[in-house]
Amino acid sequence: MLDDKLIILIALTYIGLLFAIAYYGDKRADSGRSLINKPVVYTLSIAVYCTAWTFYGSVGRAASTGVGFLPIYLGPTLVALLFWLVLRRIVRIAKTQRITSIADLIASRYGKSQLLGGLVTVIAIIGIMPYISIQLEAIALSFAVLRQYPAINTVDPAETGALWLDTSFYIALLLIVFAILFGTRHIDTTERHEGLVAAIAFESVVKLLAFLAVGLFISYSVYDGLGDIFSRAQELPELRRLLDFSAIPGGFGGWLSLTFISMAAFLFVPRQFQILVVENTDERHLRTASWLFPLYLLIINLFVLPIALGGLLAFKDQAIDADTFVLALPMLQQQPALALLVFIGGLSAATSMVIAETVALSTMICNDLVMPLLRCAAAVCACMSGLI
Amino acid sequence: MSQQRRRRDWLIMLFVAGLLAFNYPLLGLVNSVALMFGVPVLYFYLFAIWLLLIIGVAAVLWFYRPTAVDETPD
Repeated sequence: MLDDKLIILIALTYIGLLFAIAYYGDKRADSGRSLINKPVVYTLSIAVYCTAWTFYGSVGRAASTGVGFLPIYLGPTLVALLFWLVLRRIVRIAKTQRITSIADLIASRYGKSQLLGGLVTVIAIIGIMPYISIQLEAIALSFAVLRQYPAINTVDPAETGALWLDTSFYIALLLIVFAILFGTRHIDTTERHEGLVAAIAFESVVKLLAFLAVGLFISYSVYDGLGDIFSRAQELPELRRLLDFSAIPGGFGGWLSLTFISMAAFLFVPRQFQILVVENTDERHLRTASWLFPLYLLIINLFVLPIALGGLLAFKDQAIDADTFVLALPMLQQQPALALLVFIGGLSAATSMVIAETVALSTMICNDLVMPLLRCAAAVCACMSGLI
Repeated sequence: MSQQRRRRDWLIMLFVAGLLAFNYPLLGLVNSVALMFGVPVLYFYLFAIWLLLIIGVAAVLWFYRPTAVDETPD
């Protein structure tokens, strides 16, 4: 069995490392030697697009729809081809008009409408909150699965019990501290956070390496290469349907609509806008990001279907949730160190999303909801005192 | 200026080519469970096009890299 204390210690050490990187990033920025003013770092920070949903959920989706998980990454790939034409223009507009969030951008297109900015913010809060909670749930779920090692059972996330026994609660507390220290503590009109971006870029490396490690292990150590996994899957009718379009919900129409939704989400989800546009230090970085970011997506997705098929083959007779295959397969092969690495990879995917999203949302809430309301309240007070 | 225009045209062309290649009817042509180099044809096709697009955009942005005067938006 993996000791709870060991898992928690490793997770805390990892989050401590994030604090150190963010602190170092801020220090370097203060001394004028920016850590993030490099195209590779910018590209890695954009990979905050890949959340725990990518890390665990893609395999789960591939296990039921085959290549149906791919439009979520093909959409952003197509957008990346136009970075130099479209995104560069948005970055320029944002810099000249001091736009710090997607709510600002939309409002500015309609004569700086405060009402519209507020509406965008409210819609973003309603839409993003469940998305953030999925990330925290993924952390709790992966912890619950991992601590059972060497047993492999599906865990119901609702069974975590009281609040003080809930791992995601403590992770959320740590992330709140992180977001306050490196996200919202500085009052800066540009809303740039160098340390935070450096930490997010580091997290992108960790999740990519963790996912590649498990993908290579399953494909070439558990099975005899990709050809072996696919030919085994081809022999089973229930897995064979995952190799073509027959398992994709909505068929070609569903595929196309998911591609377009992903294109829009990639550009306009608050955290993406924050990282792509607001945190951009030099528009020339878009040249590298145009090809390097799609390459990142390609590499992180290369082993998704093989892992899903490998999991379905290995757990044929067990009811194991496909979302946990990435973790359950190394556990099945008695590889606790690899399982721990996967856990850290999932943790990095989830924490980077939560940090970037909450900071982006807090900027929107502050600038587009609280400030207009305060101004409105001040105007009412002034009016009242005038009457009295 | 013509370099800028050529770069813009190439990028738009790559985007349209990618959009077409990743959708019906071209995807219908490779919608098969047969294996090619050990991987399903559909899977191979999607990743091959993906890689080609990456190489394409890198080549365009390298070949038509911005010069000092190239400061105006495309």
